[in-house]
Amino acid sequence: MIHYEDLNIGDSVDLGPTSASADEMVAFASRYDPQPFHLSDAGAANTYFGTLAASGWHTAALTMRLMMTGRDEPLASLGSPGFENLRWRRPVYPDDALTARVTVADKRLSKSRPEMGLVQFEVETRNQDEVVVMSFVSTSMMARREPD
Amino acid sequence: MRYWEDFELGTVESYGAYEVTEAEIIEFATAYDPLPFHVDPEAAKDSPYGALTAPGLLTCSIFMRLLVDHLLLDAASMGSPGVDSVRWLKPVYAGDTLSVRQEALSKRVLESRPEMGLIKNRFEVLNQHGEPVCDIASNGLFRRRDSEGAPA
Repeated sequence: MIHYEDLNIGDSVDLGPTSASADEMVAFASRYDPQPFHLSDAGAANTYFGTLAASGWHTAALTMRLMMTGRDEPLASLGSPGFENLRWRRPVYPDDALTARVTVADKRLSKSRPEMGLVQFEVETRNQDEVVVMSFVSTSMMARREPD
Repeated sequence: MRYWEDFELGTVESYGAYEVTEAEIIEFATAYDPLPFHVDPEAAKDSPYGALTAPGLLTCSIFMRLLVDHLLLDAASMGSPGVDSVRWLKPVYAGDTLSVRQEALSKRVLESRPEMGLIKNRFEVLNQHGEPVCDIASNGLFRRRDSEGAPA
């Protein structure tokens, strides 16, 4: 397990790839984001996307998958209070190979909960052409290996 | 059809009722966020949360569904460049019913693309007790009613 102590400011890893098929994109969007351009090629034809593209929240979920499962060991995560500055920069299309570059931007111990620390991650999601499709800054509550 | 001009600052809209089930939490978490307290009801009992909780991105995705149903399918929506901040304030448990409270905070026409405007909204996701579980500051792009090419 990767604990708070194992993450150092400046550490950066590239996780992935992962992808979603057209069927998976349509299934996600049917449930959570049923706008025409996320449901079919025809619905996207005269839009910014051109052809079927993933819901931005699906791209965020795929990136979360990489953050949680893309390392050699699981993260001893206790959840997250939130994230900031999420930007959807480019469309994500079916079977795009997504990777996540996760950089430790900051870390500090929790004053109220000595069993954990807060780690700030800068995250960039890229496609197979190395184009950044999404970026955000997230905070994770990480368990300490040896609490005081 | 709602255009950029139709959003009034300070107007509050409340909408939606989405029941979160244990099956949906486990399905979403297994695919995208497989922490023990999201996928395993037994392990969740021993977690700080005391029971199975929804992944934060499931709460955001449910928020999106409520926003699409209430607003976006009947608006001249041009998408969203992103979300300024998301705060997960309280756990969302299986059986909770979520709704949304929406308020437009600011709006401006895009200088680079005057046919559309940006609106900054604050969204609170509430549970069935009226408690905010998630606070979202987001940006939406909408076509202007008087822009060239817009339907009358």
